[in-house]
Amino acid sequence: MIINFKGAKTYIGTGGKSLDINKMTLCFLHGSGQNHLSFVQQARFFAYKGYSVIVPDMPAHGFSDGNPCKSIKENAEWINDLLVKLNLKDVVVIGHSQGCLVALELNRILKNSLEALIFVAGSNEIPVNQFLLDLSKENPQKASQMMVTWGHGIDGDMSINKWPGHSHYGEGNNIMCMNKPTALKYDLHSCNDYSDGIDAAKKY
Amino acid sequence: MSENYKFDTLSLHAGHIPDKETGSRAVPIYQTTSYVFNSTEEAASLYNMEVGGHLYTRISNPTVAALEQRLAALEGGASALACSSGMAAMHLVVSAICSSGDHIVASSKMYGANINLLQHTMPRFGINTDFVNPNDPEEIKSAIKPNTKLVFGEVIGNPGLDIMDVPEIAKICNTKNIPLVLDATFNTPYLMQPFKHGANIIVHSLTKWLGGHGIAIGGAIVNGGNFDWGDKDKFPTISGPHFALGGISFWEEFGPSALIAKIRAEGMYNFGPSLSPTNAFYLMQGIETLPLRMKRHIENTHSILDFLVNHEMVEWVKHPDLETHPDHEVAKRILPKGSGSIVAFGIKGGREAGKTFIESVQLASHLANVGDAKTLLIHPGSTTHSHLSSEAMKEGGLTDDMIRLSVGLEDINDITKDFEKGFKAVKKLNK
Repeated sequence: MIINFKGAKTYIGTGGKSLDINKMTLCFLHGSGQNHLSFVQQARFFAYKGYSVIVPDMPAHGFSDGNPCKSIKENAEWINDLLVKLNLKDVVVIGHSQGCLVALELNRILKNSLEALIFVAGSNEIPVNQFLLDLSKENPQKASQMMVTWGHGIDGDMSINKWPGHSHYGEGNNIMCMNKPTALKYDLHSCNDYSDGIDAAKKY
Repeated sequence: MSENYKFDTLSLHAGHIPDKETGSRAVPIYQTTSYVFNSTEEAASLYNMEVGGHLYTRISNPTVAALEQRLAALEGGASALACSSGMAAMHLVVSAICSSGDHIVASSKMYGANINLLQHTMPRFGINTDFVNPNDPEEIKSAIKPNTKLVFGEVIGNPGLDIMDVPEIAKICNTKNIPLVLDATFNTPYLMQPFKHGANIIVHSLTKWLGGHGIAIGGAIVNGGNFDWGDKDKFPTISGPHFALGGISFWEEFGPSALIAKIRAEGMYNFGPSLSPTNAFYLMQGIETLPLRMKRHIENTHSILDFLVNHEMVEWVKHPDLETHPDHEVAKRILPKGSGSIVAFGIKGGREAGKTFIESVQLASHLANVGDAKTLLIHPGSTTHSHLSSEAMKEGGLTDDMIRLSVGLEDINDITKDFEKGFKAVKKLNK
């Protein structure tokens, strides 16, 4: 679904089902340079199993307009405001990579009121190689390509995709290219600059 | 395409890792129509596109999927779909994107079946095409209307060997937000990868050079993943709600692979032009040696061009790698490895001479195919176009002395020796 949020067109994947705010909601947070398409299978799977699902495209990612958030804290505040706008109460947050850092900060803001936090390939901090940081600024397309190549590993072209005929690399690369060109730079710098993960994970 | 492996390696390996259970190094032929569901819940998940997998071979099949992933890797695309023929691929693309009232801009210099589909068949369903000169980007630009849904052409035209200036035409399409669909059969990804030049969708006849051995008919669509289908008014079939699957929007759920997801869910499901798993295996065997074959095809073609250009019995020779070809400069720019292995030439003596030549050669096969490992010839004036007058053939860009040659991989000396037999017979006739 598309909503106007903070003055910008914002896309929120719902797994092919309508959002029901009375149900428990699974909120998926994408990683650096990604968007809702990273979680299509999970979103559809859980939506068809009766959960409410939201997979927001963060500002300047996927189908969302707006300016990219410039820190993990800013990302977390944006998500918090979105949950308020959508009037969602019982929320489980599932973060992937950068999405885990955002989930940690969201936990701090919400003072442990989330139903659960689930991390996929996460950590309390995600330092980023300086070369990749620089490349994300100078040539985001090349940086995306390198991340996809590294992310799928050396056998990514050989291993079978569960979706028949879909290329891990080609599809992954084009998913990243759907974002605004500056999105990746701010994502990677946000990850690299973040060091409050342990504190944010504390119980309040 | 990733940065891990080069083209030659991907030709052999993309889309397959040795089977864990059996250790099978070759891609197994999954000769099955259907797949056992472990539970009703799993079946429902597959039908609802909650998870990927195989339901029924008309829609997808593991052997065919390996071929599809290999093609996507070789073209540098987001996804691919293999089907029963190149013409099936073409029809699937048109029917996925266009509806009644829509318009197509297409090259006027294409394979006859492509022309027939757009000129005669699709208008019956309310989809009309304006044909334009593929070498004139301005003409293409001015033919685009508000209801134009795609621009279509052949990178290397069949049989006239016109070369489309793909980067220029892609710029026009990009500005107008219209997908550029290219038939890349004659170039194959070895000679040129259209997505790198801005094209959005590729169709292939796999029967030709990709399969390469004249043993299996097949086609494919490769989706660049580089087109924005988000305009729901313009591309409702891709970004608007689908009639099934809870009104799924393929664009929202599959993004770069939206077109392939749409074609699989509608075209393959409702029309059913599936590729047999065994033919997919044969075609993959061909692709394994594509780089080696294409290199040799081009070497032999260049030798044959030298031979023909300098032959006293030859009236004219047409190939984009010759400086005399009107599109030679474009060919040099976008096809630096060579412009394919089809050569058109005319024999002194007109229609009768062409017929005699064809009937006198022994090694080269007289048949209606191209891209085989073996050298193939056809004389349109005495076969496919024998019912037409010289004037009518000229109107279609053909001449009655024209021989279409598909240069094979034989020893070049054996091919030229064989041709000498043909020329000798024509010489006798001309006396």
